[in-house]
Amino acid sequence: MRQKERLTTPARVLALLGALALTGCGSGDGPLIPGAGPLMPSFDSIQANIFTPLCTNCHVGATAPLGLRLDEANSFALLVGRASVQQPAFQRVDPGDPDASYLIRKLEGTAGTGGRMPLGAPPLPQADIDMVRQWIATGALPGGAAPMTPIRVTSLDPLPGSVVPMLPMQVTAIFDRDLNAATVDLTTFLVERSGGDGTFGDGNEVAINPVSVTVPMVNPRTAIFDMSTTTPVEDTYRVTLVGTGAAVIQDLGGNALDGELAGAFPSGDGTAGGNFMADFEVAGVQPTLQSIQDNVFTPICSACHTGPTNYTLGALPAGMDLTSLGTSFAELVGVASLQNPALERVDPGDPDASWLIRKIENTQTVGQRMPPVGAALDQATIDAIRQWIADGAMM
Amino acid sequence: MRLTPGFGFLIAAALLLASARVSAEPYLAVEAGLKCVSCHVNPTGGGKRNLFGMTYARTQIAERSILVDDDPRPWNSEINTWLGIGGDYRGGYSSVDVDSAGSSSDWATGEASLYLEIRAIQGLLTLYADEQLAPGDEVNREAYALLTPAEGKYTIKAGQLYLPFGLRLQDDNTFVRQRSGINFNTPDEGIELGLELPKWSAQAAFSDGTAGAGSAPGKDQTSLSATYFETDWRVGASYNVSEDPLGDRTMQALFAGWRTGPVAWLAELDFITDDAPGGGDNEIYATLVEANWRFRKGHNLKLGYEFLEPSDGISEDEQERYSVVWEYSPFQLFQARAGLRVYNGVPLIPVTNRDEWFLEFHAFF
Repeated sequence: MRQKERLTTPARVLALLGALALTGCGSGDGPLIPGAGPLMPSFDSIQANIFTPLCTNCHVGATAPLGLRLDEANSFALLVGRASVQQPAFQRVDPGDPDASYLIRKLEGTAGTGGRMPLGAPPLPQADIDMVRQWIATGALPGGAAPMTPIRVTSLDPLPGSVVPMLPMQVTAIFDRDLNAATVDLTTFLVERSGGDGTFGDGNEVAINPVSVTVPMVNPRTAIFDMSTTTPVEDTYRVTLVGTGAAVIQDLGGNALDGELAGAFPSGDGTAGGNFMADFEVAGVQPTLQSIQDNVFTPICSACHTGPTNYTLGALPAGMDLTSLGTSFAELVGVASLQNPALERVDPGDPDASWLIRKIENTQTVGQRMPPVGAALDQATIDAIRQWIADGAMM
Repeated sequence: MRLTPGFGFLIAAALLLASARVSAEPYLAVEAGLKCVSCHVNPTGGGKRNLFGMTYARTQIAERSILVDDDPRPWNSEINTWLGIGGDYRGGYSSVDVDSAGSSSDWATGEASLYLEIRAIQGLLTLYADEQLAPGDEVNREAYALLTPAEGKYTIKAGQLYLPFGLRLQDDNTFVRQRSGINFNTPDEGIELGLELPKWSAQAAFSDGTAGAGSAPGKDQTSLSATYFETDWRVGASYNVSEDPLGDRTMQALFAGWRTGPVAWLAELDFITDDAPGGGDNEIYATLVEANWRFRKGHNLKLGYEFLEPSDGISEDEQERYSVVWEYSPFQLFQARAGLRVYNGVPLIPVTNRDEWFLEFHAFF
């Protein structure tokens, strides 16, 4: 880059007036942002792509706002580990913690003091801010090297090996840095269930089709598998995050997942690659008629609510047949109670108005609590029945 | 919309040669042939308007003056003989279209400020504060004691203050205000000595040089500015030197204002040199030409052209900004502004090539 010949001060006026008449003509000889390349989560790349071309509109020279110079020679030293002037409790860049870094708060407009940066210009695209986030998350190191270590899983919800009473609405995986959202999809984030035998690899597994697989912009370290419309089934479920193969989960720097889970988080064996696999079990009554039939109606209720075999003039209890899925649905859903005809036994969408709920919660006005002998149903079971009704009491 | 350099030159030439009609807040002083101190508490302009400034805004700028319930004494920001308050609110809708990066738009508050003036000793000692309430948390912009001995011939400000340098433009995003780093976002702690003569206004400020970050070892700033006034024109020069262990900065500015018929003109040329301890100094040039045409009472059409050379050692990094703004003040204390700003910059940096449409509501009291 060749410096232009210096002008004497009086000549500068003429030069500037000349510039007015020659707008758009280059006046220097060196290239702009030479070798900047695509934005990467490294300091040099962020300097070349963000700080130099955008921030130094103001943050340059001895009159830089709040003394913060963001030119190439000074920005690292004035950012990393330096307290913010506006909010001294925060460091401008807090290595390892982008959420606590004032730079990120200013870029995302959440600082609370002053305007969002860059001031007077459009906000940076979130993808660009994510690169800055990742640079900070991986230690805010100087120089041009993006982190070369593989990305790892730091937590999973539901926890591996846990037993949960209800199928969760979503599976959430959290990583040690921001994800490349484009690498997280139906082929790299998988959930399946065992098919009822608690084992995998024997061919009877059932893949779970999610509503979506997403990486939220507000928390790009997180991947969410949304299964809110999945029919809940008691079974063992397996979560797989793919780190081996043609399509793998990556961070913004292109580092692949190090997925092996050996008992404790974070995942990984120190080498990129390897699938993350973790199982959890859904045990207990689910808010489906099948589960309620299997766990409540058949083993408990059908002892008295026997149906035609012991049918006596349609009277209760035998007249309300709860011995099978089909008869339970036919005898309960939308059928007026004999004891309290103003209510339906199961009023789809309205558990409080359903006579079945009143009977098992012992709030009925006629007759006795169900089941009439032995312990009352536990609240988790009642909640599952309530949820099934609230969901529409489907077959 | 992109304007070619040639078209930009034509506009600049038209502005410079045709003497058409155009304006900025200092344009009001040019138009009236007055100094900043005529309308503002701060002798160098900006912030709270004084009694004359409020009266001028109501009777000369607004299309009409509304009197509520026939009250012959409309709001003038003066509570009593020793206390005055004021404020500004600017907010509205803006849409930005960045080349190859799409567009975005939003409603936002640009500024909500509150001013407090305590005339502790009438005509001699004033305590003044300028607090920005939004956006974000409250920020103190100016807070100083102002001495005005000899009936205001001399002024002494001590505290946190805007530094004297160039034209005190309302728009901090003009290249001259942005690149000089002296604007409403960068007050500094220090003292300013001023001289107000019939045809002269001069200031010398000595400050921390940290743009609001407090004192720091090795940092100091001196800012000098002087303006000569005639009825129809004025010309001024500013010089600023900031000492800094990381590299000094020297700035020079020439600025002027004049009127041609109904048009008030403003112009400023800034030369900035950033020294680097290891060599490789950088020179920056920034300029502004602005014309304000008050084509009808209450209406002002502002045309502006700016040019920036951010680094003399780098080619093809020049930037331009064109502005067309219509300002409408239907009644006192209120102004609506609609405008377009077109940025022409570096092809590799999309954000330097953008169009901004905005609709702004400005209320003040």
